[in-house]
Amino acid sequence: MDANDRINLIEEFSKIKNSHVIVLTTFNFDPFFFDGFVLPILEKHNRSAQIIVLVDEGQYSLAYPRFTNRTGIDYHLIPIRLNQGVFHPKFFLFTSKDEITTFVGSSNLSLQGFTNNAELVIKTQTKLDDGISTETKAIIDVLNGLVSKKLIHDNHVLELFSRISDTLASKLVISSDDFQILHNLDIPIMSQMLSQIPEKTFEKLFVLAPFFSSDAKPLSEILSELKIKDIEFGLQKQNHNLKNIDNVRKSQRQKMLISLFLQHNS
Amino acid sequence: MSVSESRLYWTQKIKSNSRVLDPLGIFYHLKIQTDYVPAITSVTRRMRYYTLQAWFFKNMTENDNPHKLERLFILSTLFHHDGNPSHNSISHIFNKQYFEKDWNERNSFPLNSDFKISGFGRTYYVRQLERLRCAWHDGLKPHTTMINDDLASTLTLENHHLNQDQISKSDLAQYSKLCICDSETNEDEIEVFSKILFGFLNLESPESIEDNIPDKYLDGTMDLVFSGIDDFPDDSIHQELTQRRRNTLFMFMKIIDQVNPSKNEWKETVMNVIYYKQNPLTKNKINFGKLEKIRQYWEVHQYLIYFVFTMESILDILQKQLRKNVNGIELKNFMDCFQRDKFQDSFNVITNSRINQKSFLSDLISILDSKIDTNHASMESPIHEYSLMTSLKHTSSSEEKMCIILVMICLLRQRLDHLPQEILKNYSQSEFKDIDDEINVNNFMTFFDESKSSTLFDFSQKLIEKISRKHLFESSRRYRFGTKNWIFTEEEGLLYPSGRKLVRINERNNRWNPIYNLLLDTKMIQNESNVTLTEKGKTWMQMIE
Repeated sequence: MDANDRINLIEEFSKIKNSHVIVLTTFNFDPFFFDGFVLPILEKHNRSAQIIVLVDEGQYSLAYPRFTNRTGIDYHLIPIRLNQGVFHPKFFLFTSKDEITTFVGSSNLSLQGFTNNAELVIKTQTKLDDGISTETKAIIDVLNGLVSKKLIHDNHVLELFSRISDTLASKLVISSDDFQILHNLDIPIMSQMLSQIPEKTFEKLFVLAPFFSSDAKPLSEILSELKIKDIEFGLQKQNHNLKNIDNVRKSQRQKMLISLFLQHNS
Repeated sequence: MSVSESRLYWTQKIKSNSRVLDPLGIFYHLKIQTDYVPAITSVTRRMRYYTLQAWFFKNMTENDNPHKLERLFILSTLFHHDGNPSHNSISHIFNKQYFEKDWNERNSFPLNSDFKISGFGRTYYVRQLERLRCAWHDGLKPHTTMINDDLASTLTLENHHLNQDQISKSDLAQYSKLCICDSETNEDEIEVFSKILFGFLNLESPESIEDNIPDKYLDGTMDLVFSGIDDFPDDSIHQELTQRRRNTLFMFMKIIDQVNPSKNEWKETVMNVIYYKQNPLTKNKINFGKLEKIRQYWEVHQYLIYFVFTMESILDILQKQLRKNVNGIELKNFMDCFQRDKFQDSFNVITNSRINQKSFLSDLISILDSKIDTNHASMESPIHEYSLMTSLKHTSSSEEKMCIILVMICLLRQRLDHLPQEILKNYSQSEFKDIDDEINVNNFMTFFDESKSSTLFDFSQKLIEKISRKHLFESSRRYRFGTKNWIFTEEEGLLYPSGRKLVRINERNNRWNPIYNLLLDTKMIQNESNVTLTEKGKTWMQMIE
């Protein structure tokens, strides 16, 4: 990936037309941004689309003071409650009669997520006559997982998911990439990730994240499984929760990023 | 992208870089200043621009370029003042700085698009000519009245250079009469425009300017009646709007006549006399007589100015704290940014009483009730809205600012019930259908009433949350129309600064300056060390007193 490869999600959303079903998942949900800005864009170009937003239940409750007269009325807004952890995936699926577009990434459905954050997004676009991408297949698997675990109760939405799944089941998966979406519906993501790494010794671990837990537990978990010499952190300037940064240096590769050597793991 | 290709991207950063106007979406409260001086806007500050556009309607055709006339006007004005755009006589001329650097070196100037102008002279004034019954465009063709012709005829202007793309410096000499300062001595222009501005028009066909003004009404019998309602028959719209403007202009002149404010304080004086009905210098009551009805509209307006300014000052606290905490502030604990001791000390200074961190909003209300007559606005009171607004403008401490805001809200809540409710009703209706507007004055005061048992600290936290929500709503709504004006964003309970320049928060009283300037241009008032009525102004006042 070139550092100059940028995507404007708002422009992307404006380009997609004639979708039948639009499924958007997010952890944090901003009704003002979605109802006031995103929804009108989606409605303008996808007049008959069924729009479904899946959001973490805790964030759904926090967003309640910002519900507008359209929130969850002019589209389906489904809170998802997991037994363990939070519902944190961010993917956007647009299905039309002959095309599927997906975005899998890190952007929440919020003004901050769409404008200010340095987010990563994989975009795929496939003609249904050709088949479906591995990303689409992975998304459908996640949706099926939500249904089978009875995390969605809205009958209309269940019916829509079932219809999408049935329609795509017979389609050929055309990408050759070994793409997976790891989710935490069954098992925590960290243990799945660690189990899939074939090597156990590395020169460097590069961690790209804005927020870090104060007890550094996830890092400890990684270091207990893998032998790593250096850890490098990639942070977005003025958008992280590390309070005391002493050894900041500007990255040569990413203008938006600063990278930080925090510790030397002996 | 091929049909099966996947690509990984960084998202593009989108900067908030639009001009920030009405960041809370509450300027609908301030429409009195639009409704009660029709034909005068915040940017229509010089009589000559009205005349210039009237001249264009009379003498040029639709195929002619109005910007050429505006360019000639700017150039001739500059020429008349040796190219000095800062000359006192030529204030409020658009694009006058364009040749500031090379005026002396140039021998000629472009009249075509090489001289890039904003065209504001046309944009801002033509619409107002319609409201003055001079000229308008019905979508097919322009229409002009005798009123327009009379105004246009006061300007002597040869138009042969308007067909050219250049004009030499020496040729500009023949256009000295076009300079804006010529209107100071152009008695015809002053007389005609005065009558138009004050609405002395015959609306019969053909529409024309009334004769014998002011002599006709010097017995004080001039009609000042207006309905104040917006639901009136089409054929009386113009009469109603004219009367509103006329009332406002006479009210302004009455205040000047009663107080003779100093040149530097005339605006504050106008605001305060309207709101407190007092002479700020002597504290004596002022009787507005026939103008009492219009004063009540502007009193409501001033009240809403205080309300909007107070709400925007909370936003100011938010933006300034966020600039100090660029990695974000948790919204639900925003007040943790405040130094509690400083907060408490500020209260004690402002209210001259012992307020502590655990004091309730009801305690503050009781203290204010014991110290001042909160039901009646008075400049003699130790705490009043104007003094609080002045303090708000001058303090840089968030703690002190929040204390002043809380006191101001308490005062405004008490005043609310004593305002003319019929007038207030029309200007306090929320314009938003999608949300219950939390910052609408009525909704806000209901919230205030329901929060009296909150501690001052908790109430302040709730204020911050309300203001942040409304700004986030408004910025998302505006973004739909392409405006990127967010001062901050929010995600996962954290507020983040947008990184834009500090947005200056000012009171939104924006009609007094143009009224003042137009009354100077029409020689109704004069500004020496003090602002006073001219002999002409005094004579005109006899029409209503």
